[in-house]
Amino acid sequence: MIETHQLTRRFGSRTAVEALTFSIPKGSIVGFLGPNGAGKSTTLKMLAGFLPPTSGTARVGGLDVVTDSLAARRLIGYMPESVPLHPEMRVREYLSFRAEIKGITRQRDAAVDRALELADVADVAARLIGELSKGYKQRVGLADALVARPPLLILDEPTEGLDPNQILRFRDMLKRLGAEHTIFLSTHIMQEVEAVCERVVIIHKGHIAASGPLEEVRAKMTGASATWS
Amino acid sequence: MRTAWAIYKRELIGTFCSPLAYVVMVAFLVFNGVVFWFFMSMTADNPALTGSRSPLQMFFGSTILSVLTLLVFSPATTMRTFAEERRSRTFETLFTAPVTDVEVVAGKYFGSMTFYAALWAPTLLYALVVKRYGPVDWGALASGYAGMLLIGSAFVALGVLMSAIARSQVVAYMLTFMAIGGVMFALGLGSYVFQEESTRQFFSYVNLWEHMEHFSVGLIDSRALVYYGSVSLCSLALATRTLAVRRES
Repeated sequence: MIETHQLTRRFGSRTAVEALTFSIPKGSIVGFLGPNGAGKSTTLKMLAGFLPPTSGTARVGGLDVVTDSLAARRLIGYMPESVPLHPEMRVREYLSFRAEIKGITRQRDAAVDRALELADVADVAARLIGELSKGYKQRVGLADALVARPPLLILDEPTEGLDPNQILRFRDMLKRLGAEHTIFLSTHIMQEVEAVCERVVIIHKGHIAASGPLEEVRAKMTGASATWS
Repeated sequence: MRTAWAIYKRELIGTFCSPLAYVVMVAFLVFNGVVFWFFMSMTADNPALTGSRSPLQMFFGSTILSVLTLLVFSPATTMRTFAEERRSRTFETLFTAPVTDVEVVAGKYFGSMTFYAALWAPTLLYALVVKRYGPVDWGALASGYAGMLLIGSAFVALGVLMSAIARSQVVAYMLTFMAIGGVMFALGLGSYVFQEESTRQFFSYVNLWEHMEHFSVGLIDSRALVYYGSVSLCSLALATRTLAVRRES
């Protein structure tokens, strides 16, 4: 579903990520694990087609994210870190807008209803986004990522800032969604990866430290789990 | 096209759900109300001074006041377009959806044009006031509004460009103010400064004040159409390019 080759991003003289090469098979939940500042968000922004890479390539569903950007973006539901939303809009209104710009023309109401259900925000559909709690906002962001039924979900620190109960709820939701979507989620918490992911890509200081099925990586890097837990 | 329409609709929600829109509209109407009252009383008290001009003609042309209105209020219609998206970081969710830069710029531009037109709409009532006391030249009035829309379309396009460049709404306002005042308006002053005919003609071609004067008496000059049309298109093209460049840095 995702393939990167020598993916590099520089900001001026600073190198955020260098020569990332990894792949993520279809139909899996994959954790993108690394400490803060390791280059997780930069990588996800490149995959989502927001930030062009300095060099190297990234493909999503076989489509290059730079040369075939529009088609690649149609395959992705992206939820950025800290979930930026329009506070002056109502939840349903916002999701309907997002569905429309994602090209859902027919049965948009049904698509919005489905996303509201899946992300468990149907009860606040008529509320203003600006009035919602952090947990709800996070799930509205998830509903936005889901609304066009993309095969791939890219979630940047989806449980950041939630309380323990909300985290458990969110993880359950992700596991359910894993049946239908490939999910690539970033986190700096090892337990999160262990709780929901089948595979893991570990990034450290802009380089890939390990990548593969969770058990394999764990066996290879005994003791590493303590680093970020 | 459908995407641009969706962005346009969202732009209207964003604009008219914010108190800023109403502050701008009230300030605009207070200012222009005073200006119009001034012209009305001048026509009534001292007809010799105003000659054959109706208060409506003076409202659109003749004085510097209509230029001042545009200078102060049109940057306010565009300052939030991109600067606000960048501040609230919705810029990122917008551009990770399958939208093109052209669609986004088009949606934002027409959204701002609608706000700009909404500012002017209540001034149509001034014509009814004039009609109570004397004849109204409806043709000239239509041309006056056409002029305001045409000149406004160039200023709004410039404002969208500046909002794409700027990091905050205030900076976007100031940049647009400077572009309109320092470039578009100042260029026109050249036609009063230079004596030589060809130079004077060039500056007269870009003279905002002179254009307003023409529009206010019902004269729609194709040169003005071309001038403001090209300023709009160039600004919007640059805004599209700016978005791409800003993402790369």
